[in-house]
Amino acid sequence: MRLVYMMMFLLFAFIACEENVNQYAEIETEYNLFMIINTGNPYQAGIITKSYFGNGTDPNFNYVDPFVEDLQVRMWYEDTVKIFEPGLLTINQNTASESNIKVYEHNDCIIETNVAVELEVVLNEERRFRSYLLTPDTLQFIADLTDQILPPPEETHIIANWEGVSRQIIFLPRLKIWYRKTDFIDRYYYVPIAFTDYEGERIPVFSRGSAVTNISIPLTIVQQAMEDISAGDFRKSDYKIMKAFWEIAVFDENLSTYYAINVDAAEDFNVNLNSFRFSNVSGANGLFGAYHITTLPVRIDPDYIYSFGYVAGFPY
Amino acid sequence: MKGYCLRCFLVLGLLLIISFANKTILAQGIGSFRGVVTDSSNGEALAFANVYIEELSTGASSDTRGYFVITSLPANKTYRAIISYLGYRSKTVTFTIQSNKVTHIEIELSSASVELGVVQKIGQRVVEKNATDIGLQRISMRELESLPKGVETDIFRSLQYMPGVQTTGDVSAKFFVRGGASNQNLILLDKIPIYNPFHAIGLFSVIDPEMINNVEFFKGGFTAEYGGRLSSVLSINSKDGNQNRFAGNFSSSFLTAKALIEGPIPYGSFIISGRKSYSADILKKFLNDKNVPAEFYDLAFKVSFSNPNLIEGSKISAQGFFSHDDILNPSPFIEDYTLENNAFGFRWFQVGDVPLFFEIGVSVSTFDGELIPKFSGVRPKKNELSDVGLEMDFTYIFDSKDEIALGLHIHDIQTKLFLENSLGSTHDVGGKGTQISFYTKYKLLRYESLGIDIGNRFNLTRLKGSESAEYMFEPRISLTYRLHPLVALKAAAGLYQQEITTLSDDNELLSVFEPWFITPEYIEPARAVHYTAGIDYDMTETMKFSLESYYKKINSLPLLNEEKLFPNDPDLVSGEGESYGVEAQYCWLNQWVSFTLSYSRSWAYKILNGRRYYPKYDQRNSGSVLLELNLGKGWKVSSIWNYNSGLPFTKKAGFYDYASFTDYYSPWYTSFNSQPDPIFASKNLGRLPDYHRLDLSISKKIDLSFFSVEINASVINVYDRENIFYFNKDTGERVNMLPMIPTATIKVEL
Repeated sequence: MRLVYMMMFLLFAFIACEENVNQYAEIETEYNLFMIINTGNPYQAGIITKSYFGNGTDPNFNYVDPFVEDLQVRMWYEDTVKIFEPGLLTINQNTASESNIKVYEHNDCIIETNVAVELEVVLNEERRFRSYLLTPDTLQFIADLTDQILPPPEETHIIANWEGVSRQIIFLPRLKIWYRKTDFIDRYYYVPIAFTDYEGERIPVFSRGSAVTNISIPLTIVQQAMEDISAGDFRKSDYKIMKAFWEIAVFDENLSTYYAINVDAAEDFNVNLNSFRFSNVSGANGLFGAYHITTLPVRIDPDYIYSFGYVAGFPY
Repeated sequence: MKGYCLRCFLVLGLLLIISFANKTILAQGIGSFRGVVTDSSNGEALAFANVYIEELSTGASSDTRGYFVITSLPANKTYRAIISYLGYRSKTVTFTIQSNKVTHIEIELSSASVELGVVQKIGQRVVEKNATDIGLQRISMRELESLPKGVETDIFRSLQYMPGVQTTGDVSAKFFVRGGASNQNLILLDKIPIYNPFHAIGLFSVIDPEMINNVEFFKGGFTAEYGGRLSSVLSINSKDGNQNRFAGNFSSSFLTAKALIEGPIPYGSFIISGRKSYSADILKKFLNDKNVPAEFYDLAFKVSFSNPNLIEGSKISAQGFFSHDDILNPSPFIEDYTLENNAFGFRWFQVGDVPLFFEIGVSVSTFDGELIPKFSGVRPKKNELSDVGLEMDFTYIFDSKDEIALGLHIHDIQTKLFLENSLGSTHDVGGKGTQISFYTKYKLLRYESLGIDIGNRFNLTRLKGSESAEYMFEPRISLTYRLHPLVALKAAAGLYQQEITTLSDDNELLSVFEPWFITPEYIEPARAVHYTAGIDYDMTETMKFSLESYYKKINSLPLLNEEKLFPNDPDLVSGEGESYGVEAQYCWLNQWVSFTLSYSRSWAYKILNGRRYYPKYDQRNSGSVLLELNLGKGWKVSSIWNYNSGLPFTKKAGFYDYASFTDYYSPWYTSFNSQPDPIFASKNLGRLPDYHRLDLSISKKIDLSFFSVEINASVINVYDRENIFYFNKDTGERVNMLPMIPTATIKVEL
């Protein structure tokens, strides 16, 4: 009987063992391009990376430099061609690899709105990537439906409306308050559309990008924002409130699609084993997109500023 | 055309009723024997009981209501019938058949737990020589209760041990039948469709097993009375309630507490059952120690009424079912869900002086589900479905034993599905329509060695889209040929159609909320063809071996458009499905021991844009060994060992740094971030290691003076096998299925 128990124990011990399985196939070399044009800005940059295998099963511990150098990167728009040169961006990066961000850059590449742009990357004689975009158009605020003074008289919300263009593009609006302290450094406070409480903390919630062509922020939230500017500081008069701005980021179609796919969070309890990534680069993965920022100043009523104990930057 | 067919049906139905309802003359020199088999302790119908007439070596099985009919018995003679049911004491009744009459007897069987040692079992082969039942599994509540309970008895989890039923792991109760998707299973509770049959993010079924009398599970090749789904039908019949005395039971597991009250009413009975979750701690074991803030309840009731003074031979019932799930996360950055089923039905079942049965039912079934994103960034979803049904079914049994059945099924279905598109605007992609179908079928049973069930389902209207004649007919055939007294050959074929689907992601192993909607007009209704063939070998009175093979092909299979980029891109794309396999089952059943050995070998494919891949539930080999022992004196032991070969998964062919930025108002490099993103190899070409698991359960029933207590202790995954569930796509972390979990339930019966 003892032998039977022993055999049963050994059998269970054997079959209970965890089995190893290789979750990796043969590596497929793929390239990834990432370049976002900031219209009106002379400095443009992009990156090109190559696929790799991580160190162990967790790719976040990766020591392989994914950046690809020594490629020819050309950009055409209107009657201009720009050759991008390799460069190094030493910014406060947050990447899985330990590499610096190696970019392809150009310091004199101002691209205006509503311009067709073509990007070509030559990998070698046989292989090249291409991508195209049309930079977004400038949007127009609808004056009658946009508050340009804060607080708007006899209203509970401050609102902005603008005219969208016909394409399926995304707008990302926000209201920011420009202020200074005694050091005269320009500071900005970004006004959320709501606050929520979680674990004793008040957390701001900002607008999501959408095709909706208006934004409305309750004045109670603006009031809370104004108070937050000097939260914990009793010297309210050290704060000089200058102005507010409506700021609308308009994306081109490529960036709109990328945003729509990437900004969606995954449902928390769903277990998804795959992910779909948008690419508008032929011959590689990645994104070639553009955006444009339109701003509209909003005057802040000095009396409203004084009500918080602040100083008005423009007391008229 | 459809108006003509509808008129034909109504005229035919009326003719049947008028022709037969008032007649007492069947044929000269013969008569019929009809009865209903019930449990003596509570009056509950005993489905699938055997009735065997010794003198004629013939018999029948009771249906799900406990009814049976044996026609064409020579008149003016006295017969002895043995009525048997596993776990009950067999009973012999003597009856005399009068010419042109139906002799009706009500038979009560006593449970073997009351009177031990005198139980007989008349083998299935004796009474069902030509039953056309390929692909059908019948499960009584007694069988369901004897399976290892796990956290608690669950009908869907019990199905997963059957050959031909696949899963994506032991975490979810979702099941896939013979290569079909889970939304292709029709779940009926007292013939009312239940659209979201899962509690607690799909871990358990919503149907409280305490309410179940019996279950019929059609794995394929189902006949013309069932429609609307492509793969399988799970028909759950609830109890009527104790007709003899007031009774109740209360039970508790690590997850739920539940109560059931039943009792007699004048000319009938009632039953009410309710269940509520009280702790979600056990659910952490299902999700890798992740907190699952799920709360749920369900409530079911049924009132049955049968007054011979009012309408002789009638049985009228009203039933309701309600379930509600909340998943409410304390964090404002994790979405909430609410899911609710409501179903109500009324049925009138009538038997006459002639072997004519008819049943008329009206039902309303609704499902409401909502994903409330709060500040999670998940897009909101809201789904409302209502299904108002009217069903009329008539069955007439000829003297020759042949049967004719016809029915009219009308379902008015309305779905609303509010989805927010990528541009932030909300659209309703639902629809509404009325599906009018009628079926006719003829069961040729006059030859002892041959049974043929041939019929057609006519779709007079479709829920949506054009009324092409192509989608009007769903012919079905099922046949049995008894080659030898012990051996039967069986086959079935049929065409099936489905016009309602869920928004389900093929890549999701677990999903909380899969909203229903009518298949949009840009996709043709999904159609499937089934071919099934098999052999039954009744080795002895208590041993049976069956072998079935199947082939299923699905056209216009609606699949989630994984490459949807723009709001105007369709949510669904049309694909194809194909599956085939072979299933074997060996059963040895007697009062003390139940042993079942199952094995299936199967293949399943989906085809999209010409690309063929294995769906997530494709299992090449699966098998189970089930052993139940009734040790007497209230002790029962059961064990089940389940084996599945590895499920498909998509291997990674490397990573690339997926660049992103968070501040869209500034140059991208000021908020640059990159994360390793997997490059997936060909879809589902990898295979996970084999799965196997042993569950054990022991229970003891203690009868006390005025109540009894049943204590059950179970161990899930006895040897703590680390079965892999999936690899986290982002980190590569291995996530396992259920570890070893000891559980217990206690049930007090009054």
